[in-house]
Amino acid sequence: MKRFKRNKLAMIGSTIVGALVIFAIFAPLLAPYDPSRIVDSDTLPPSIWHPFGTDDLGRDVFSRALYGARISLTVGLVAVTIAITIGTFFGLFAGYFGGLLDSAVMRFVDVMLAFPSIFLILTIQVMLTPNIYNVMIVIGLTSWMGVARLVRGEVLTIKERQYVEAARAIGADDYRIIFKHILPNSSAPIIVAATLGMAGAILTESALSFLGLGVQPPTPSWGNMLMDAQAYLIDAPWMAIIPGLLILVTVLSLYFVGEGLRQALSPKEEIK
Amino acid sequence: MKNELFKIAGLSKHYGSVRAVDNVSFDILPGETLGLVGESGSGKTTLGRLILHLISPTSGKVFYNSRNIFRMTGSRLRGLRQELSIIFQDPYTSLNPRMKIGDIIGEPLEVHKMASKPVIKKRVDELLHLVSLPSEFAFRFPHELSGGERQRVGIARALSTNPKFIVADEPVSSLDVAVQAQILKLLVNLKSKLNLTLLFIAHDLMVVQNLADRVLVMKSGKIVESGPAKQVFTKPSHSYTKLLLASTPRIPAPA
Amino acid sequence: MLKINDLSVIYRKEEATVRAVDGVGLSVEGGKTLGIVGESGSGKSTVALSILKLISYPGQIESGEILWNEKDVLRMSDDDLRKLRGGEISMIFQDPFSSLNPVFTIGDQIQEAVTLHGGNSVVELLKSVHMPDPEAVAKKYPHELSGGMRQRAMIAMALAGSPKLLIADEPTTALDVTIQAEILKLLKELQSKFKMSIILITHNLALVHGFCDDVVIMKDGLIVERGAADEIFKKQKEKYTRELIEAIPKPRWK
Repeated sequence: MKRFKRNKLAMIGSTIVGALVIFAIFAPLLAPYDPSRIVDSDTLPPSIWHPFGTDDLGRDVFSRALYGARISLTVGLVAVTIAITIGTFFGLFAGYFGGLLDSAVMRFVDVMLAFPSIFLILTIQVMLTPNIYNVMIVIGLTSWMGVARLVRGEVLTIKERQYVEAARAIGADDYRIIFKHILPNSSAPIIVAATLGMAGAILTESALSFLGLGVQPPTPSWGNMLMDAQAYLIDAPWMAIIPGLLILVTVLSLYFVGEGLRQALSPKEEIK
Repeated sequence: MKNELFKIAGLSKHYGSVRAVDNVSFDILPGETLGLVGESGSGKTTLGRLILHLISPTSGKVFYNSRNIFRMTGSRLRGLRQELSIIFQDPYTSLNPRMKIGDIIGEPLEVHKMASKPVIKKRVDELLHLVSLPSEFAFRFPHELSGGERQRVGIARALSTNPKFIVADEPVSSLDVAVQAQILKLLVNLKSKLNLTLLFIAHDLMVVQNLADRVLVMKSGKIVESGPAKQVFTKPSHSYTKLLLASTPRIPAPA
Repeated sequence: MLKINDLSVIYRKEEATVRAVDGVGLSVEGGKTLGIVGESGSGKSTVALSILKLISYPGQIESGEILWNEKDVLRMSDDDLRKLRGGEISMIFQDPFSSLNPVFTIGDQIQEAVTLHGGNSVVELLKSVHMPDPEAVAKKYPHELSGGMRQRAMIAMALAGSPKLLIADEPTTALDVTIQAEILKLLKELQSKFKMSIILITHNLALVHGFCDDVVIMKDGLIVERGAADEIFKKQKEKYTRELIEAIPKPRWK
């Protein structure tokens, strides 16, 4: 905990992420306008009435950005949860039981990793009707492999620790050993992977929405706001700058938090 | 001798061409403390684990109360875990760093469903007192305790199911000299108080001399000497035992 | 020959700064053996590393002087220091496995020491440490040797520069007791053959008996008691020393 607090970048990152979460949760209260309604003339530059200006249809960009935050953070969270859950399960069982199960799972991971995930996601989204739900699920289903490998590695190390042998000597069964002894001790890399994974998920969702294969308008997502902004780069640059900046800041902040966590949670060396 | 607790017959464990344990046979009598001494590579640790069926042998049998433990499965094997315990060498890695001390000590009882939660709590408290640790340690984590204290927790854990037999695998080797003496004293007290049968594994002959009734000396997987403790120390018959005794640094008796 | 005056070493850890060595002073004369005894955390290894100024971040030598033949090691030029290390003062460590480079043969590593400090050939050095079959061993890698042989190899490396002082930091702690006895015997033999002084760092007070002339007991960075080795076993001034001696298992029967 202390180590994390000392890392200035990580602290800045967590503050920003924290603020974004609050904005996202309280978006309906904080947004001055309905994000889907036309409330004013189109392409108005930022002013007191519209801190981020209006977009090409006359909607308030600030309100859209707030609701967009909801989308991005929700997608990030759900996708990462799916990925972590799948990855952890595979990693735990492959690492613990070894043998054929391990080989089978790892070969499956290799196969999944061989597909360039962006193309995989794009293909799937093109085949389905894109909406926020299948975006979350698809990202989750295509990003669990790294976690699986990571967790498997941890399990292989922890499996040999003496407290695991002690648990076996007591008579604990495999499931107890896996979930009570091994899993809690491998949580550190999982947490780090989750934080960094969320950053990745948000980027992917933004890319998908930008291409029209993610969250569909009129629901605002930073990605599809960028899509709308393409034609107005010169006339109403704020339409692109705002969502672009928000994506950048969010992903960077999550990155700093993830790196900070990794440093804080890495085992310390004892000096005698 | 029909009342032996353990009868080890022709026990061997090979790892490829390495004979970690090579055709070993001996008995363990109820209530006795058997010292098993050997240097690294002697096979003593492997032998300890075989006797508890934590690993499987290449050949041979281990009879516990006249039953071959290697043929036990399911509930019989689980029952075995209740009656046989082990104290590990390294207090820094034998306790789960994410578990509270109270949970660590009570886990054997929980695993075997031997008592309800409140009863387990009480038992954990008794055990902490037995090993001279304060009750409030139940709420602490391993990293908050010293090496000696952690080893006491390991001992308490081993005692929690009221086992009949305990394998103490080099329980003091990782501790500072002053703490070693304390832990050995604790073990001496406990073994007579609870009438335990103990297999004490060590690489240092001097450590077992106060505890052991009989001593076995191992080298390269074989038992090269066995006999009553006093005899092995004062009149060793095997050259290796003599070498071990001669190599141990001695100090003159204080004035 | 070696005189340490008022040495203090600190370690900067995240939570606080630890004073590993606190105003320690000692001396070693030519051809004599000094034992530094203490439990883990007493500062004994830190003192040993300081002699060759081997303390690095987060450790720092705060104050004091280490006089080797009247010259202060802590204020020597880098060139002089390099000549000193492995030259007139050599050091061997506890775990030969991690001190020896696993990707070079024993022969190569000892040769490196010989090249830097001159002296006898690799095989000669291995012979002087009673390494069985020295020519063959020189071609082997560390992992192919037993613990005792690796320690002999390390001693051979340390002897390359014909040191006048050998610092042995827990040289036998990781070894079996029978090998320990052999290594200590070897060190004694080398000491008289090459007229070296030896500093033995250990947590086992019993080793000091019969091996060291003088002994210094450390606890928490301070020297608690010092004296001639035979005197200390007969009469102790401090309670801590008495506790250490009492903790050593004594033969139960005669």
